[in-house]
Amino acid sequence: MIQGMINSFCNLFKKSATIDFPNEQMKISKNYRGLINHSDSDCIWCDVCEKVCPPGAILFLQNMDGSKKYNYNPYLCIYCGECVRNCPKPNEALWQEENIAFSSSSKKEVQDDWFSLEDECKIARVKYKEHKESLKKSQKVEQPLS
Amino acid sequence: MVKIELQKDNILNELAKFYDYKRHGFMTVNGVDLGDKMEIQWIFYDYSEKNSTIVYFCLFDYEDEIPSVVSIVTPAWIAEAEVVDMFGVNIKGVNRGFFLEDDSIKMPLRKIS
Amino acid sequence: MTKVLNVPLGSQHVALLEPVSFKLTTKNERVVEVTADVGYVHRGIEKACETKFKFKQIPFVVSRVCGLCSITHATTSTLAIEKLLNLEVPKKAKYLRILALELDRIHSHMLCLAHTAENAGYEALFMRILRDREHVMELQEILTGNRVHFDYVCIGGVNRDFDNDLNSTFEKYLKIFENFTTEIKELFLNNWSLSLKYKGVGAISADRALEQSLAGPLIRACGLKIDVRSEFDFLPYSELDFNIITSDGGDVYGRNMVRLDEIFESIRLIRAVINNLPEGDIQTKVKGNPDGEAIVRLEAPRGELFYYIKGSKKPNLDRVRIKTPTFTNIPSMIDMLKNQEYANVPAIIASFDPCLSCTAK
Ligand code: SF4
Ligand code: SF4
Repeated sequence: MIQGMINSFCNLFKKSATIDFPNEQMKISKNYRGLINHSDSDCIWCDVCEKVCPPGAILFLQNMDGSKKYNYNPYLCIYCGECVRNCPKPNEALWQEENIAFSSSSKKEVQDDWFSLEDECKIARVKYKEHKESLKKSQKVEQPLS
Repeated sequence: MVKIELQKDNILNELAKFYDYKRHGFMTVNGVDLGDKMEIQWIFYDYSEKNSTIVYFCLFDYEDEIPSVVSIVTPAWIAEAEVVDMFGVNIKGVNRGFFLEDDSIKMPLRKIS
Repeated sequence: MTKVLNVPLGSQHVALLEPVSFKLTTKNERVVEVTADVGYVHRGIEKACETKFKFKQIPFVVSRVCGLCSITHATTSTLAIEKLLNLEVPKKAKYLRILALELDRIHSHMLCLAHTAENAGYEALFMRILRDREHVMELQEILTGNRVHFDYVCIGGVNRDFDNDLNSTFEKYLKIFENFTTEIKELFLNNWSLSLKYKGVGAISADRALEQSLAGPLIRACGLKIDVRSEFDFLPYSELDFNIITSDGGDVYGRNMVRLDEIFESIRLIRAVINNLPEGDIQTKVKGNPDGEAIVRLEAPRGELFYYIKGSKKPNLDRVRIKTPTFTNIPSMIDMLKNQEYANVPAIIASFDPCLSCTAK
């Protein structure tokens, strides 16, 4: 019992085990798996990262001129790092940083329109394919003439 | 993995001959939808052997009544209840509704072509 | 005079955090009849594995079955798929898998011990164990990069190498683990409520346990040497001198002791892995699609985990069957609750360490 009293007395002066959050930052270890970053200039647009991503947190929106737009949803991402491991140019086109996504309260930030974007990407791809085929056809028609 | 096929009419006899709870552990009852038939598997292992898996299986039509093995393998009722809910098969004396609620989708694991 | 009362327990109940409901019929505070319902959180993961995801993504999907034993799920499914692909995994990867599995076991057992303490009325001890558990989470984060869902195991090996400069970090953390586990064990051994009072509560005989096909720490608490880690050689446990921990009595106290001793055993295994870590690659290339049927069992913290995987040379699998440890233990849980005092029920359920969202997947 005396030991117990000494213990409880000592505990009064111990530092608390929790982190005093806004004043003190959370400890993040080295090589923590955080947000995914992408660089437009280094990417070769092979779409591998989109295909391997388990939850589908990377989407490429096809533009009609052939270029693509990279979309990433940090609130769908499971931070597995699979995209980076499969990218042919890791650490240049796609890399994982050690920072984490912050919690958010506004709808715009959590990308509420992600699922409509998914549909949009699908439609855009089909359209682009048709567009390309019709372009090819018109080229073929043109060639014999010239 | 040892796979042994059973005939529809002597499942209980064969399993009763084989199963001794002191020697064999019971793993689970598993269902596999083959597209036109259901394969029901009773999976056991041997405590004393290394790397042992013994699978008894039998092919059923979707409407067949499958005998329940609870009289031989006591803890099998929970696995049977799951197979019934997931595949919508008919196991004797097992009611639906243990795994899925009444208003959820019926037989989610069936391959409906 | 006997008074018969029907008492519902769960789902959403102060004494039971898991999504399961029991209906207990009690006679003079003694439970005579139990019915259970588990289907509150069915998520259709088996269906999703068959339709939506390719086999390479399965380990990431099934690790979401459970938050506590996610690495066990990922490893078991990976082993099954590797068996179908006839893939030989580098030895270093196998050792690193054991490392991750054993770390996971430590933190899962600690959570269970915390819950048993809480059910004996020790809110402060619950907090304290969770505080110490935080160190285990930190070490997992250092090893894998994630706190809960590690995504550490992949088909063909593991995703991250073990740098040699991690050796000292691990040694530092393992010392901390050893210290706090010794402290907790002393409490569980000497405290009146946690030791004497838990003796005989929820006891099950070895014969009955075999009949109900109990698994994991529960059956080892009956004095039976049954552990999947020693039965299978998918992972090289036998090279690390793995011992099966047993206790006797088959009651809540015995289970706590098994769990505490298993934490020490896991710490020893982690040391052995680090000291004997082979050199070499951590991944092999994956070729082809899975074909055939495979069954893999692995010891999860709560008992044995079972995966049945069937493939037919397509990127999508034909059937994925997950059998979680709690699923096997529910029949004996119901069996055990009968003839117990009503007040003991939460403690018995906590000693089973149930994970119902695993069960309903
Ligand atoms: S880390 Fe994983 S979930 Fe996130 S974008 Fe990459 S592949 Fe997708
Ligand atoms: S995998 Fe890499 S190179 Fe390919 S599209 Fe994605 S970011 Fe670009």
